[in-house]
Order: sequence, then structure tokens, then C-alpha cells
Amino acid sequence: MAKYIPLVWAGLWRKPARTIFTFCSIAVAFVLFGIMSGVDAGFAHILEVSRADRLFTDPRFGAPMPISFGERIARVPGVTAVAPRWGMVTYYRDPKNGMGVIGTDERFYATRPELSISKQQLETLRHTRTGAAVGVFLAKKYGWKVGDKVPLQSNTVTREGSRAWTFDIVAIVEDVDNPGLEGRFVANYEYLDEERVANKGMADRFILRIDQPNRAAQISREIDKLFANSASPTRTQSEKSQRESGVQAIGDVSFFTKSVIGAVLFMLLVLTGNTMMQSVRERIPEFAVLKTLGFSDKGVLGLVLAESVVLCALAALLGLTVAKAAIPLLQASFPDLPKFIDMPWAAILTGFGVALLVAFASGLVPALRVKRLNVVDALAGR
Amino acid sequence: MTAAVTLTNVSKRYRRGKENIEVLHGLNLAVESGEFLALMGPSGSGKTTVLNLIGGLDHPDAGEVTVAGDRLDNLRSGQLTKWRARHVGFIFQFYNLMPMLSAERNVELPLLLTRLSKSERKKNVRVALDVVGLSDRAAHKPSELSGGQQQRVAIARAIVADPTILLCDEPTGDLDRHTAEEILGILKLLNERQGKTVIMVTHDPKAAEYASRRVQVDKGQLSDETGTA
Repeated sequence: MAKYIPLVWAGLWRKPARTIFTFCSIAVAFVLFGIMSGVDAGFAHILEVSRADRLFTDPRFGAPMPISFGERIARVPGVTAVAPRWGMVTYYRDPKNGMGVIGTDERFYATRPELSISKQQLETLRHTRTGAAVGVFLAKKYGWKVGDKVPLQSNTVTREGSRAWTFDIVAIVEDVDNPGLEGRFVANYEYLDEERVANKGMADRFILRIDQPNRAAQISREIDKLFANSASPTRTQSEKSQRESGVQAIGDVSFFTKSVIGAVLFMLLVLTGNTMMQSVRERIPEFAVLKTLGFSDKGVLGLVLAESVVLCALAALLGLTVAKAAIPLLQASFPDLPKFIDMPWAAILTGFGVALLVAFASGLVPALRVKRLNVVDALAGR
Repeated sequence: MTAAVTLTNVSKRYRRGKENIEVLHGLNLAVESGEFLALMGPSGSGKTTVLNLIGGLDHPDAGEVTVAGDRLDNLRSGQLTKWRARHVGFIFQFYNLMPMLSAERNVELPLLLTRLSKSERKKNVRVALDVVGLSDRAAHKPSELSGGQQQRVAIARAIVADPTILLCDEPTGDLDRHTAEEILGILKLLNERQGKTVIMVTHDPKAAEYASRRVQVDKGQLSDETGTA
């Protein structure tokens, strides 16, 4: 087979400009294909790692909830852990470096077992009023390490009337579900609550673990019933259902990405098919000569298909490589979002499969034309 | 001498639009092995059709075509393709080289269909290019060669697989007199020194003088025959 490569290559370079333009178009299409597949896989990953045994109790109408709600929630049968949360909007050095600080306590890590923090680090965090456990992503981004003192600016005013909050980093935390992407800045609730002026003793969310995921809806109803007539009615739902409704709120992501991929593939098919058809039409006398020399019908069919396959496969290789390289950059552009884009090797293999399919589909008609070529008519220019 | 080519009562019709054109009717021709035959005649007389039938590019509607001991009219398309690769070398008026391939790659094309190794193919290509005096132009593409040089590459391609018969369709039709004589000289040499059977279609009486026998084709039949052998 290797001996035919120069012939295939020569066919491709018969019209270099056309080949280069087609190659670039296919490569760009596969960049788009890769990124769309990445978004599709990323959202699937978000739903896959979201847990049905983790519930969030949020204020139904926006008003913060008293911290005492936590004790009542903990008494609901099936609830195994409850952590209060207060989120504070801050930035580091420059307003462009925005980040949310979570004020909570060690129970937070009982509700989020995917975060790797040691008992010793928890102990240190508990005993360090200004302590903070930061995600690996943030630590890497800002070059933080354990022992560093980090000043953050916030809209939340301190008792001294300052907007500067200082934290001591006591742990750097990894998320085993999303390695390298953990971007939380977790501080002590007590510190935030004591230092702030407004909303003292309030939480903006309670994070819960339950013992049976299949009872999530029932437990959620029981919790919300507890506070239905309070000043702060609640709305409780599992992380899974919250993310599902969040994804649905964006729109049917899967339908959207698949539609774009479908349109890209259709465009590719037409583009490559047209190029191959044109290329073959211009070379009819050359194929006639090959047949005259003894190349079989199947042989010339194979040559045309090989040209199509080489063109599509090389362009897909480039396009998918660019997409693979671009995905971490896209993810890094949205550090506050969970891993929303992903490109597993399976997606790359699918991309190659699609490239081969496009190559065969677009090369088949011209290849069949060459296969059925009447040598006598073609040599006579008819 | 044995017959390299025998055409017996061969008829051939073509359909052009609604018209049925009988190009050959009851044509008989025998070409001895090692002969250099010139097929002459006016345009549309059926010369190229005869060449196509001998080369296994076309099937007769009636009659028998025997070439190199094989009844071509009984062979199917796939068998004819293999047969062509083994027995026939074609030389065309407009050279019909692959423009993107170098001279040596063009000459190598028929050898791609054989089981020869890369080094054997390379060796055979060099010999063929030596025969036509173009070894120093092996790496050049057709666009970098003159018409005569391109036709020499085409001849090298035709002989590289050592075929029994060389079929030439107006091989000098696109060349000036001097270059045409060089090409015809090579064909004559191949016929005399290597014993190749050469059948050449030509309009040119001067080109036909290189042949050992000349036959006229007119209205689908042989009308006249002269020989110098």
C-alpha cells in the first residue's frame, strides 16, 4: 500500500491552493466539533459528578436565614451533616481577580467529601480564626502556599470600617472529581460573622448530606415545611436536581451542541464532496491513463477514497489537536465555574471516526465516477 | 514468425446520441510478432478503434480479437485490465503523463501493479530512462520537460514493465519534425533491438516510413497494404 502514497499525495497537491483552503476549512470545522463535543461532555460531567445525597437549603425569597435553622435542619431524620454558608464577594489585588469567599466551618468538608483535606489541616483551620483553605487552582493562579497571609478587598465592611479582609492560608485543597480545578476559598464563618457589621448570625445557604439519596425529595419537603411560616421560608433541593435545572435554564445544551455539530458535519460533507468532485472531474484523463496502464476499477476507486481520507484525517488531526489544546484555556477563562468543558480521548476517537465517515461519504460519489469511467471515451475527451 | 495480433471479422458500433455508428465492419488484420506496423487512414476511419481493441480497452461487437495468444473478446473487464498491465505498453499523442509526478515516478506507475520491490522498481525505471536517454532528467516534472522529452518519458513508461506489444496513437502528432524523428528512431530501435511488436496509428506518411508494414484503414476496413520488410 505504501507504494501508492506518492500517487495519492500527488493527487492532493494537483491544485495546492484548493487543497490548502479545503484543509483549513476542515481543520476549523474540527476545532468547532472538538469544542462543541467538549461542552457536551463537560455538561455531562457536571451532571455526572453532582450528588443526589447533597442538598442545598436556600432562602426562597432571597432574605438570609438565621444560623439557628441549621440545628433544626440537623434534627430532620435522614440528615447526616449540615454546614452553614455565607458567601462574600472579594477580589485579590485587582478588581479583575474576583473571587468568592465561603464562610463556613469544618462540617462543610463532611458535606463535600470529594475535597481532600486532612484532619490536621481541619484542626488548624478550626484554631486559626483568620485561617483559609484554598483550592489548588487558586493557589496555582496566585502562587499562594500554606503560611501565606492573603489580603482581599470586599464590599462587606468590617467592624473597623475597612473593606480589607486578611486571611492566613492553612491548607491547599484538591477536588478529586475535578483535579486541578478546585477554586474555592473557604474561611471560618465565625471570623466573617464577628467582623462584619450587617447580617450577623445569618447564612445564605445550608449545605446538607443525607443518608439515602432516594429520599432527597422527601427530606427537602420536610425541611421546607419546617420554615414555611417563618420570616425566611426556604427552598431545598439536591445538588443534582439544582444542576439539572441550572443546565436546563441555559437551554437544552445537548440539543444545541449536537445541532451545531450536525451543521458542521453537513457543511464538511458538502465542502469536501465538492472539492473531491471538482478534483476528480479535472483529472478524468489522468484516471483514464491509470486504467489504461492496468490499474483496476477498484484500484482507482481506492486512490480517490484514499485522497479524501488523507485530506480529512490530517485536517481532523490538526483541528482536534487545536481543540484539545484550547479546552484548558477556555476552562481557565471561567475559574468560578465547575468543569464545564472536557475532551476525553473517547471524544477524539469519535472525531476521527467522524472524519473517516465524512471522507468516505464525500469521496464515494467521485470515486464511483472514476470506477465507472469508460477509458475509451475519457481518452477521446468525450 | 507467430502472430502477435489477429483480428478476425471484427465489427464495432458506437452510439452517439440517437445515432448508431458502425466504425468497423468485418475487419481482418494479422500482425506478426516483432513487426512494426503503421495504421494509416483519414480521421474517423477507425484506426484508434482498432488500437483500442488490440489494447484490450474496448470489446468488439462481433468477431475475434487474439493478442499475445489470448482471446480478448472472451475476457471480462477486470481480466482485461490485468492482461493490459502484463502485455501492452501505450504511447499517446499528448503523452498523458501525471503532471504532479517526476519523470521517474511516471515511469514507475506500471510497476506499482507488480510484486517488484522498491529497489527493483527503481532499477527498472533507471534502465527504461536510459533506453530513451533521459536518465539525467529523472527528477524533473513533465512541466519542466520539452514535448520530445515528455514523449520519451511516455515511451519509458510504456516499456518499463517489458510488455509484448507497444501501441502508439499518433506518437509524433504533437512534435516538430526533428523531435518526431528522434521518437520514431527510439520506437524503431525498440522494435529491432528488443523485438517489441509495435503498432502505430499515424496520419504522417513520413512517420509511417519507419514501420516495416503500413496498412490503410478506411470506412472500417483495411483498404490497402504496403510493406518494406
